[in-house]
Amino acid sequence: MRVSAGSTWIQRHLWCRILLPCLLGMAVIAPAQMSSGSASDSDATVTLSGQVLNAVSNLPIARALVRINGRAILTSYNGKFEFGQVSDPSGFVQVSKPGFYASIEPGGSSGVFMQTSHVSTPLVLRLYPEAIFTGTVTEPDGDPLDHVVVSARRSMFNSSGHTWIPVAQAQTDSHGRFRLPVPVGDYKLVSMYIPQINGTENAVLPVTLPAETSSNTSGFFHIRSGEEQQDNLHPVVSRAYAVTATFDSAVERGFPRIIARSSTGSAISLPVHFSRSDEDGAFKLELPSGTYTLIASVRSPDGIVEGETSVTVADHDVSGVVFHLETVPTLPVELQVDGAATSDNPQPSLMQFGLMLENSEADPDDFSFPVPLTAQRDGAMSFTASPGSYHLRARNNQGAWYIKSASYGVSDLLQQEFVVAPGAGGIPIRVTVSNQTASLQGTCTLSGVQAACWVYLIPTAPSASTVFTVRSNEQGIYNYTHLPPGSYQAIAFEQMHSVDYGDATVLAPYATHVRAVTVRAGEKPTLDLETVSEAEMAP
Amino acid sequence: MKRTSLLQFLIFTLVASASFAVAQTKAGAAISYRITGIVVSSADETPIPHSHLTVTLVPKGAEEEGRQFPSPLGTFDADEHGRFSISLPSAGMWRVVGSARGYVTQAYDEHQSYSSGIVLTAASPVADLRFQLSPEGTITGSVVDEAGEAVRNARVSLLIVPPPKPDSSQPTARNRASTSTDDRGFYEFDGLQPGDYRIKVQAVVWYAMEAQQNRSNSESDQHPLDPSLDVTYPLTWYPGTGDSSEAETLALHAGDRRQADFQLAPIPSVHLRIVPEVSVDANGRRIQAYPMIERISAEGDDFIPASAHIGPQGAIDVGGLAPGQYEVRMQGPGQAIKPTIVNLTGGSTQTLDMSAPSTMASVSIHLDGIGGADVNSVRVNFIDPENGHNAARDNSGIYFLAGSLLQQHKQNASQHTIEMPPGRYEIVLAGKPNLYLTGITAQSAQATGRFVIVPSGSSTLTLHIADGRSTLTGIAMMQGKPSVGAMVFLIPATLGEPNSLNIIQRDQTNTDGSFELNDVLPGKYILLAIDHGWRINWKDPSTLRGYMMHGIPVDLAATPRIKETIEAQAP
Repeated sequence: MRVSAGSTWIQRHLWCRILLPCLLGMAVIAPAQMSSGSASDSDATVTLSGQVLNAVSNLPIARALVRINGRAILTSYNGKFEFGQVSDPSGFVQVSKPGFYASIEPGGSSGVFMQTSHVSTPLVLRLYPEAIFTGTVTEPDGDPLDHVVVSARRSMFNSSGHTWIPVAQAQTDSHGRFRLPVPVGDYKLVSMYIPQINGTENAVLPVTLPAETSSNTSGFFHIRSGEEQQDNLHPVVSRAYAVTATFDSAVERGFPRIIARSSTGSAISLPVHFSRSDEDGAFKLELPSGTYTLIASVRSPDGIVEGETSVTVADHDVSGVVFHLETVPTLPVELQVDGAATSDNPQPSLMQFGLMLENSEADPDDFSFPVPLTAQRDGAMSFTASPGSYHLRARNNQGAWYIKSASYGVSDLLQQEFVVAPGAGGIPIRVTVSNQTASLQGTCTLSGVQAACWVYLIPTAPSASTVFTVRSNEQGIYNYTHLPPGSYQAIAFEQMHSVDYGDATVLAPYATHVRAVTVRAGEKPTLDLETVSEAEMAP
Repeated sequence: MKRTSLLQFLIFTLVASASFAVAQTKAGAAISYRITGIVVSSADETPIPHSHLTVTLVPKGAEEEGRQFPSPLGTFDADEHGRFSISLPSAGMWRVVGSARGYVTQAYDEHQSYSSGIVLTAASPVADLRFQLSPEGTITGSVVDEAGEAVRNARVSLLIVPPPKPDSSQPTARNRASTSTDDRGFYEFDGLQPGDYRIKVQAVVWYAMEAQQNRSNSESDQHPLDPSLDVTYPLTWYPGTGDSSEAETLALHAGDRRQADFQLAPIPSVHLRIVPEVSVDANGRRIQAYPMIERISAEGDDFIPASAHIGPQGAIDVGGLAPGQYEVRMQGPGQAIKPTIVNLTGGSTQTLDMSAPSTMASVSIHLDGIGGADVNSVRVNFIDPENGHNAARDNSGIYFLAGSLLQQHKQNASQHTIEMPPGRYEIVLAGKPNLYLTGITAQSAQATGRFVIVPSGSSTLTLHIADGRSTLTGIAMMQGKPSVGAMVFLIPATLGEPNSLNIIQRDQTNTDGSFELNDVLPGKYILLAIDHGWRINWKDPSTLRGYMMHGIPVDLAATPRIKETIEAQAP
């Protein structure tokens, strides 16, 4: 790394063995931006003052850290702060405090952009108090279960689709209690599988809340800023039996991951115990009585092998379970370029499109992840995907090129599901990219005033991406320089708004703000948008 | 019977069903082997209802051969009166571990790391036990900052202070558990056995950490960081001291619930200015090396979160440090890691010039007396007698298992150089159980017995190693009956001599009075057994001499396997 004449900051969090979840009220910080055309006289300095308030209660927050341009101060008991002798009062003002978030959206803005013209009025900065899930984990007889790992998984949407990201995790204490502070959002609570409670042969089965029942249509808890929600988990505690299994082919390297799916649909990721003395490679799993489909996958430098088998545990140990392992199909991907590369528009590479295969079969326990495009030893690009149905997805920011078409045999992968059959392979996925892009520009207005916004363009024609996002500048002017030609629905939000734009109903509450637009290659039409305010976005 | 070490326990849990095989009953099927008894609380002798007992057959010489324990036969539940009766398929020595909600999980008659095995024979096929379990202790508390606000994610460590050893030395406190405070600053340690504990807290001053970020423009040069924000929390011992010798020892009795609250007070952070050694890549561009900083303390090294600011000339300003001793390792792409020890005191910025000659000891190690595959399995530990820490690590900067140096480099494994702070160390071999040290030859260093003193700069140690440790088995009797749960000691005849390479070994007798001491270094010893010997106060050095008078001499240099019957002494 080369060091410039300026200086660089690095942060090193070197805690041994533990992962420190960043619970401080701040996201990744955008570099402080200075407005270049500042009209302020360099000799004149101003005093910058303000107050930090709790966004829910409107009460002042003491000892919050306020930062601007490398200066920092803690607020006083009444939430007030004052920076004297500020020579350039434009830039990002950031405020943070443990237990608070600067934004209600993940990855949302962590500060307020301040302009010279605003200096005369005191700043009001708001922090959102975190929400908290509390509760207990108890056995059916009411005895508390200690040291059970409970995790809060937040519903997140990104370019690869919908995922449940664990944002907080805690162990229950000796009374079976847990606390999970989280940002505002939609959550599932999951308690983990324990193959053996200390000193007994009982296993604690995993539980997911809310329960996957037909009566609960949402399938998640929504928790608001500052709210405490109590949820008690009652996992089934049941005697576990040893299941001894082998693979039908030698697994030289890599460690197997085994998931047991019960007949009721719940899934358990099982710890695998390998014998050191056994030459035959037998390994042991612990499972309560029941009928299970066991899925083993072993990832090694040579690829992925998978095997599936079923087992019925009926109040006694089971041995002789055999997994028939097969190599997971490797599907090569070929790039075809429609259009000429130029000096300022170099030849595209497959990697830049962030291609992935998203499993289209719902997995309530989230043991499946999108399959990324990977480079093989010979440099060829391919997907290694287990048999199943997938959607081809691409990152929404693809630079100067866009995915014009994608096919697998006769299937159009932009419109149809991609079905991987057992033993598939050999036939390449053909991805055609083009640089014949369109552009779009415009302004966002919030209550009649041009102001910063996030613009979302949702393609209405077949596309590898579900949404194209751009942030406007502080004056509300936005600009898409490279957009696949086609028709879109456009909407602007005051804050980042990450939802599943593939679902048409998500825009329904904002129908009056949605505009339709069609762009053609080489054109740059203008589309002005009325921003959905933060209040309308309803945290 | 010596309790399995943690490592052995891990292996034991990894062992799969293959070793399920339980020794076949050779005698007639008429003999019914059983362990019966009652589980009671050690606090008041009341029966513990619905406790669980896990029973495992201990094969003869189990600790010797591969150190693998078989899988347990099973777990059996006591009834509502704490009574149990377990039918067993064979004679042999059985290890029984009891557990119950609210009690510490323990092996039968467990003391410190020793317990008694239950031996069943055709002549005595039934054992009746009074199985004591200690009510678990709990320590809870909170960590707040100088303003009384909760400190989240503070790292709270619980250390157990072991009782003194028979040679009256005080072993260093060991880390028993670590946890992090929750959003209220609360922490809890549960399942604690009675004993002496200390607690320490390491935490980040959140606002100092964040205030350091993104200070990268002219404004920050005009306005240096407010000193009230350039602070750090020192490592804090309960009840609120930075000095481990002033830490309070919490004596936890069975079932105690103790509270230990902390209020952290920030101190001005010390800045360390690191001038890295200038190195350039093939294109003449400077390679930027980054520091890894680890605090060295008597009771465990701690990685510390530090903020580093790289200046225009490549000098690195590390802030947020508390006074203390640190190890700094610099690593850039393709560079070897160079560890340096630096002592930081409060006050002004200290400068560390990495291009200055190293003050570290560079110790070249030769292994003599073994060859082939053995060489690769030997780990050489340099234990600091002050704190029990291993200073040996190789210059790839990787901390191997238990921090020891693993001789991995096949091409020249019998010779290796490691860097460590100069000082006095005890050499401890690990890796292959049967090897032992017969002597150390030092060049440019001093060697006395198992101890070496290594100076700054280069030195060479030749470790003379021999293969083949000894085993001593036997029976301890008292007034014509087996002495159950007696402490057995094997004390080197050379005890107290500086050149002695041998160490005290211990075991606890099983229900038939039997004991087994494996991995004994050949030599002359005094063997003694003390009935209920774990109650002895070893802090008085004359105590051991009194018992040694009545011990019996054994020579394990001449014979590698000895069997002895000894009379146990009253405590």
